[in-house]
Amino acid sequence: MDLVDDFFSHAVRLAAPGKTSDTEQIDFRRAVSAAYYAVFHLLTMTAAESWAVGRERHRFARLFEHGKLRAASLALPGKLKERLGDNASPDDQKTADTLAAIAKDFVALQQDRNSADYDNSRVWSYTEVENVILRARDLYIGWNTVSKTPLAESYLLDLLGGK
Amino acid sequence: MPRTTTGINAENLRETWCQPENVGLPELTREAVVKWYSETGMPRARGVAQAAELQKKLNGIMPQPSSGVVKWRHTFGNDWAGDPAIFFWVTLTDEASKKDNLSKATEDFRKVLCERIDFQNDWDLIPYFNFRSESEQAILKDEVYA
Repeated sequence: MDLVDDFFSHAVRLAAPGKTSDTEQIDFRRAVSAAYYAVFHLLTMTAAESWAVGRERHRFARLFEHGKLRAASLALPGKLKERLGDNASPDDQKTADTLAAIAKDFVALQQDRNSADYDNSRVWSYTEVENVILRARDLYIGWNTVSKTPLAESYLLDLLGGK
Repeated sequence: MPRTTTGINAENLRETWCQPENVGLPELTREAVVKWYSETGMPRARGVAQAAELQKKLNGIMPQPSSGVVKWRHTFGNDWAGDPAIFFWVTLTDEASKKDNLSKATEDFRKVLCERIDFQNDWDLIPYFNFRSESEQAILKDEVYA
C-alpha cells in the first residue's frame, strides 16, 4: 500500500530530531497527523481490498468515518469476548489480544491527531511525536500479523458502523 | 485573544453563548469550559465523580510504576469525541526517551497502569498517555507535566 508507506515516511521525515527551525511545531503537528492517517488508510484500504468490484475500491474506502472507527475500536474488547466464546484456541486468543492492542492504539492515535490538528495551545516535543510514530508502527506491524484472520475481518466490518 | 477573520473573539463568544440564565464563564479557557459543562447536570464519569477513590488506586502505584519514569501526573477532561478521559503526562529520563528505548518505556508504563486499573469499565474513563523527556520538559516547562 503505497499511500500508507508514504504517510509513514512523511511522518518520520517531519519528526526528524534536532530541528531548530521556526517550522518545528508545524512539522511535529503534521507528523502526528500523518502517522494517524497511515493507520487510518491501512485499515480502510485493507477493508476495501475485500470489495469485489475493483474499480470501486477507493470509493468503498471513503465510506469509513473517523467517529465510527473510534466507536468500533472502543467496543472491540467486548465483541472479541463474544466472538471467541469460552473455548478459544490459543491462536485465536493471541489474535484477539493483538487486535485489542491495535484498537487501543488506534483510539490513542486518533486523539493525538485531533490534538495535533485542532488544539493550538499544545506544544509538542520530539519525544511525544516519536511516541506517536512508534505506536503507529506497532499497530502496522501487529495488523500485518492478523489481517487475514476472521476476527480481523469482523473488526473491519465493525469499523463501518452499524450492528 | 486576537480577532479572527470571522470576527469572533473570546469577548463576543461570551456575549453570545452566556445568556443571563446560565452560569457566566469567568474566562474562556478550556478548563473553565470543561468545569462549566460538567456542572450542567450531565452524567459524570465514575472516575470524576469519585476522583478521591480513583486517586487512592493511583497512589497505590506511586511513585515509579516502571523504569525510566521521572514523574507522572494526570488530568481529567474530555477527549475529542466528548467522552470523559484521563490524560497521563509522563516525564521520562533522557535515557528512556532515546529512540531505541522509548517503545519499551512507554509500553511498560501503559501496561502497569492498565493492568492495575480498568479505567474504561470501572471508572468510565478512556486513558490517554503522553510522554516527554526530562530535558524537553526543562525547556518547555509545560504545566501539565510539572
